[in-house]
Amino acid sequence: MDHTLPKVTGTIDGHEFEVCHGTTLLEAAKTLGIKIPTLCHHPGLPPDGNCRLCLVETGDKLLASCAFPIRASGGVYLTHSPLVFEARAFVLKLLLSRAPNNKELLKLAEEYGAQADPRLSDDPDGCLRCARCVRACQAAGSQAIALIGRGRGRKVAGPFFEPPLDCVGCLACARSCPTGLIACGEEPRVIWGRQFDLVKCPQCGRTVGTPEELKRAGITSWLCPDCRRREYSQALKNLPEASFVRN
Amino acid sequence: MTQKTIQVTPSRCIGCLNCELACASRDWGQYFPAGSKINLVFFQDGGQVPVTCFQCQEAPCLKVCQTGALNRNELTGVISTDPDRCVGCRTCVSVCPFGNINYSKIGRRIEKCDQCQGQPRCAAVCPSGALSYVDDLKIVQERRRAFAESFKEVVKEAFK
Repeated sequence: MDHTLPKVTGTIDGHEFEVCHGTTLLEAAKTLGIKIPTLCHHPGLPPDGNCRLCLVETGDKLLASCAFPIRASGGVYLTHSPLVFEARAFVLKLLLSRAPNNKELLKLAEEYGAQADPRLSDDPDGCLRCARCVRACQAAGSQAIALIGRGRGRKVAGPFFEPPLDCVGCLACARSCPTGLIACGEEPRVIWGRQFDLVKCPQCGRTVGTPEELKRAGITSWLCPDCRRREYSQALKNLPEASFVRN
Repeated sequence: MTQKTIQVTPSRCIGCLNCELACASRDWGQYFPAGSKINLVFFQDGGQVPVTCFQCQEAPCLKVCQTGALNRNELTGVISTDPDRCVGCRTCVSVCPFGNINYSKIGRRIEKCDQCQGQPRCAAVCPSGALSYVDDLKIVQERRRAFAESFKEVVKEAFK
């Protein structure tokens, strides 16, 4: 949050808040301790508004709070009104048709009294289409995967549904997936149907990463962290008293 | 406010590993040296050096992190982590020239020294004064420079 920005005010469920210009409604609610359910939100990634669970009401309109930056004062937002409740229950019904066994989703469904619609449950693959993996890939510096297709056929995949060539095998996508659905392996490094070579530390033989991963980071030394420490510690060992200071 | 810094004197280190245990017990609640953010490097010909994050002024880890999981406290200059924001790409682990960031597979988060937000436990438990938490005065800064000079060549060789 940039504290040099001007402040904006408003109320959420009757509670007044004051946040910096551009803070999202979801974050503002968090400062008040109001919990808004969300599945696709990741604090480190740009908001995408994919799961639609964080809907809130403002003046007869519904909006996704994770992707709504507050830019004007005086807004009145309701996070638990009947309209919001109904909308969230509908969203949960659709999401449940996709992922009927997701624990978090089932917990929310119980709270909102939602049930999966058998007419929509022909392809329950478990993926919520939240695109956290896609955004994590972009944040990590690659753009190997994307949401492909539209409507019911939409899914996360590499170009042409083939193993993505831009993938470096860092596994950020699998680690940020809220359902843990992305199949991967550390050693051997397998993800999105691709198997990667692994770089071994030349000194101790420990796995450092994939060559693609190290190339993306711009690293030429293939030493593991432990051996890097050893390398420069050698030079420090025989220093005279109190000559070694770090901030 | 005077900035403070962890001063390390390798020649005073007796290799008791108290610092590692104290560091690990903060985050893990148990003596778990593998989860420590300060590490003792032992040498076969004797001697050991405690090493932890240098809080670099131009930190490579900070430059590569796109999610804001690593951020610097402008007041103290210390870089700390926000595990909620980490997506686990481990680029910071690769780029740290000193190997002082680790990715914990158990906690699924980045492990890095943040000087315990101003009360470093490692310095508090060190029995021999190898680690001490001191004011960052000019004399200390000059020593730091001398120290950096001593391993400049090693790092240059490893990271051309």
